Amino acid sequence: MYICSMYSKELLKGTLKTIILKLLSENDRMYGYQITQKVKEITEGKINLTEGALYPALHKLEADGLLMTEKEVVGNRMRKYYKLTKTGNNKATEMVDELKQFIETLKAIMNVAPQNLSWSV
Amino acid sequence: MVCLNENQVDEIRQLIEAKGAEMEELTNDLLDHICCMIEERMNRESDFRKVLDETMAVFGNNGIRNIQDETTFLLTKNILAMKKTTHIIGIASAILLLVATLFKIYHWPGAGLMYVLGGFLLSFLFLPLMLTIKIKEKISKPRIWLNVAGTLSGFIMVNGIFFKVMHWPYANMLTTTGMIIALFVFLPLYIYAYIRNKEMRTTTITTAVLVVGAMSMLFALVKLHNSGVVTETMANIHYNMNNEIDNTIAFNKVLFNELKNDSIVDVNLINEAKTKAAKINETIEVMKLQFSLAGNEKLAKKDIKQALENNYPSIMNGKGDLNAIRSGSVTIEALMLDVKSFEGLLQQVFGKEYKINMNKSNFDIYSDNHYNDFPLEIVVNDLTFLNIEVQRQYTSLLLAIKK
Repeated sequence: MYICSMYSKELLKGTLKTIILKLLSENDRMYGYQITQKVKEITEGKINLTEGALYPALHKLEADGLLMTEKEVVGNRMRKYYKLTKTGNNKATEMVDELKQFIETLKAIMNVAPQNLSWSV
Repeated sequence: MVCLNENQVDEIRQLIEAKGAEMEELTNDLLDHICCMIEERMNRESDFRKVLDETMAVFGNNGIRNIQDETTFLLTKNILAMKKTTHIIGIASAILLLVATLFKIYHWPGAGLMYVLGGFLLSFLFLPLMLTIKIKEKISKPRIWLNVAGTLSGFIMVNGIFFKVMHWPYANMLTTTGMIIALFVFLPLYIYAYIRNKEMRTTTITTAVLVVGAMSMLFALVKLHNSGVVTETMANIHYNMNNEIDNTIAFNKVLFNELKNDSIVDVNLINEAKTKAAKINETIEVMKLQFSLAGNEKLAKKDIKQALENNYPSIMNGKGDLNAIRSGSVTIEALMLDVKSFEGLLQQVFGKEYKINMNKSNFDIYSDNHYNDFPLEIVVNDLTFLNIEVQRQYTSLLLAIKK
């Protein structure tokens, strides 16, 4: 039910908010369906953001004051666009930087093991 | 590009709501999302119903409810402790009220205290906390009003029933107000919020019928009158007591005339007793009439008078106004003083303390300003019984002197 993809859900759970904030920092405003499609497109279908993961996260980010919404009538229904607030913008930069550093650190760990192995041989 | 029409969008909205979406904002999100999914598929497949079924199948049976639950959980994480406390308070008050009822039935001590505590927890803590939580969960506007109306009518009704159990005044007024809110505010709001929803229709109608049924039964309990058998019995008692008073007074008159010419009898004493007994009789008769009149404005004075004498069941289910016997020409206070002075006379003759037998706790209520409307039957019977008692004691006084 969480994020369905080729990666395990534990791996993606901690990065969900960062993914949403990053996407919104690059696009002025996006609606829910658009976000899921965008993620699918960028990752070539390797990450599939489901509704069950996306909407609770969007509502939580809105309640925390990181996102705001704009409503527009499209077709015969209401469409809600999500947009970063000023706090949200700062938070996005902060979280993206943190994740980048984390990936670098992970890389270091992942590279240590083979080296150690080679030494022991 | 396919664009869904208004009816199709409305159908999807109902489906989402039926599957467990409660927050208005989340419903809007999911509605747009699912519409986008369907529109995209309909570029390839033209059968709306088939596409709708396939799309909803992606979510599975509990998919939408899970999204709602997850959102609610994330938004109300910070009030989790409040939710738990509320649930505990709810269970505690339910148990307290249940145990209190058991104690009340068996007349064990402590029932009153438990009722006060349970009623307080239920109406002043549980209901308001529950409403606060619902508002924090950001449910849709009509449902918030539904919850406000439900909480309000529940609050008033619980207090009304509680007042009734404690024999406090205004109980019936409170219960009736609560029921009126439940029937004419809560129920229409409830039906408005859910009836458009096809999947919820059966549940909605069932709940509505149950609410109406429960309200009617409660109303019947609040306004219940005596059964025919009880009415007849009470009327018989009333006639017999009135006859008894007439007979006793007639007998006393004969006895008095006999004694008055007896040279060794203290005429002043029996004269005083006669005056006092007659005054109490007169006061009580006026009092019964005034009290009954004040509560039954629709009936003419002569009808009430006639009802008190011959057609008692026609008024016995009614109420009188106690204020009519608290001030003016006849008052409960003055009556009590007269009775006391009559007791003094009896004491003088019998040489020991003498108490007139009467329903003291009821007479205390009649002079207590907190109570106004009171069942006619009870007050009239208490007064009549007191009158019999006084006239009989007058008989014993005369008989004692005759010896």
